[in-house]
Amino acid sequence: MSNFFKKKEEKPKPKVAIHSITGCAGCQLVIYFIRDKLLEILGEIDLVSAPMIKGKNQPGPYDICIVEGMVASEQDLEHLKKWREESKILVAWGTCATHGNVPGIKIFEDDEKVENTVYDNKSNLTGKNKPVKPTPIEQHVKVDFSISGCPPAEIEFMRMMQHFLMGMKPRVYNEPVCVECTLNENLCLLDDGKECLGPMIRGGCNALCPNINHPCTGCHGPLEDANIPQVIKLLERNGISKELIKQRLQKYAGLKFEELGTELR
Amino acid sequence: MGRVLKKEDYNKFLQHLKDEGELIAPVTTKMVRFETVKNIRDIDLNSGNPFFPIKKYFLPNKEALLKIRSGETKSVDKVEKKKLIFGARLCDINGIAILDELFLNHEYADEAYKKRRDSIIIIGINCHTPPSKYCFCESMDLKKEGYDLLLHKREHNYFIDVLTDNGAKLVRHLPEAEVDIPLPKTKKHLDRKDLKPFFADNFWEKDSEQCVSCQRCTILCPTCFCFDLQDEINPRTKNGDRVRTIDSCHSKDFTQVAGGHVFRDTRLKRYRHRVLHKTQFFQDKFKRSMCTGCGRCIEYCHSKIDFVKTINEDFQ
Repeated sequence: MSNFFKKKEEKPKPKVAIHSITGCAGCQLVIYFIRDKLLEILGEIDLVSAPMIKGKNQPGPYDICIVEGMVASEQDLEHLKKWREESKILVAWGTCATHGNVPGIKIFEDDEKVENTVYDNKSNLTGKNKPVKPTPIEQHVKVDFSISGCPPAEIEFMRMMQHFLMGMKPRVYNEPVCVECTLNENLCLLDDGKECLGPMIRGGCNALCPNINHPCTGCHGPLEDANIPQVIKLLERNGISKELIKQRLQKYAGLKFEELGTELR
Repeated sequence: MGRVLKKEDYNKFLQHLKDEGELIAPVTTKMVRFETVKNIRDIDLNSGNPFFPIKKYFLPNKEALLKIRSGETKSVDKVEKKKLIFGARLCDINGIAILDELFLNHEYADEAYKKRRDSIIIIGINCHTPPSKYCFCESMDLKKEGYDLLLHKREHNYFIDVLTDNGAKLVRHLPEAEVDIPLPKTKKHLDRKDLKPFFADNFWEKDSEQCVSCQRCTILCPTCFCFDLQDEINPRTKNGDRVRTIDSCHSKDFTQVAGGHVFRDTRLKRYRHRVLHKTQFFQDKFKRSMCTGCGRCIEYCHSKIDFVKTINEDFQ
């Protein structure tokens, strides 16, 4: 009991900010939806800035700044650069921040055509709203740590924060979806003739989609080490058209697949 | 000396097993898996070898080895319930015998493994025809070991080979007989040879180019046991566990050491290591092959890479 009443040593809690640029804000919601376990983490950090859930937000400097979303406008870029200067550790949280995600499809299309489809009135797309090439944040600033996912799993946030608080470099789950899928003893959808991207996609989701018999669409983006040409061969073996495979690869991480040597244009 | 079970008493025997403890047997839903049996009618021995080997009951995917409470380490006092595994085939059972050799028979026995091993009774079945076209156990020197009881189906009755006291207790009411159980015969064969002359990269290029590093071969192997250790600790309360999780030599991170160096950095090196570990390195050290010939690594490979065929045909 003596331990219980002893005043804790006052150690400054790390200042954490959760910020957002262009995106659906779903990755941020994942963090707030952790609920009870989040309280354990919130007790250990000083959440100085989180515009989504807080009224009063402090400007930097921050110890850890978690950024979701991708750079799509001049304003995004301005904010991102400011956050980078203000924080010791910058975390790219979610596939938008790490790989460009769905907005990134724009780079494979004609800018003019996409903008005409999306906006009725293009007159206010000037100044800070001016669109830039949609890109993941690590193309603009140095990212210390990134976790992909659309959205990433709760456990990945918990693990990351636990490791940060213990002064360790966080370990990211770095195995393909097939690992968790096989451990769950699912029927293999790729062997069953479906368009599953599992073997080249980073897991960590506990095979969420294959568990309910839906092929993996690749929302976590490819593994650095993936054997992409062979997986494409297997998809073609299943009778999936080249055009559809191309669209699937463009959907979440087109830029990354191109960087890893896949022809997507 | 073994026992004989009459065909009409077969269901009674299964019910008797179910009454003894948690009964695990092959059950078919979308595919055949080892599951806890709710009703003995669900047991399905005719749909081939289950997807996941019985290894999962001996080495779970994730288990706590050590508890950490307020920063102090404590042992995990987990009580293992009695389990009976029915319907395992000799390849899986020999796999457990190999794991026993690694986890029990040496200077440092693995406590968690030993506890589980002691709580499980294995009642095997013998294969008449190989359950899959990928089976090649005949060439892997399977031994009659590792099980408590082994059932061999005959025209009018079952021969039961009894190996342990635990097994004998289960069949003490059955009549004794002289039993002779033949080992399974398979169509596919592995040409057992010394693979040291075939270490050069060019022997492995063709297969490893098709490998997608999905790790299914190692996860589904009855003898693959590699693991990772991680501390999952709450930084505030200093409570948590040291957990052992399944790992695979096909992962690039597997051979990463402090400082970031990766020993087996290419897919070819990793693929070659798995095959050679199964067929050569283990053989050199323990005088038996680590592969038991169940064929799962070929059957469930996305690209159907067949290392048996490569060794037989290309390694000349």
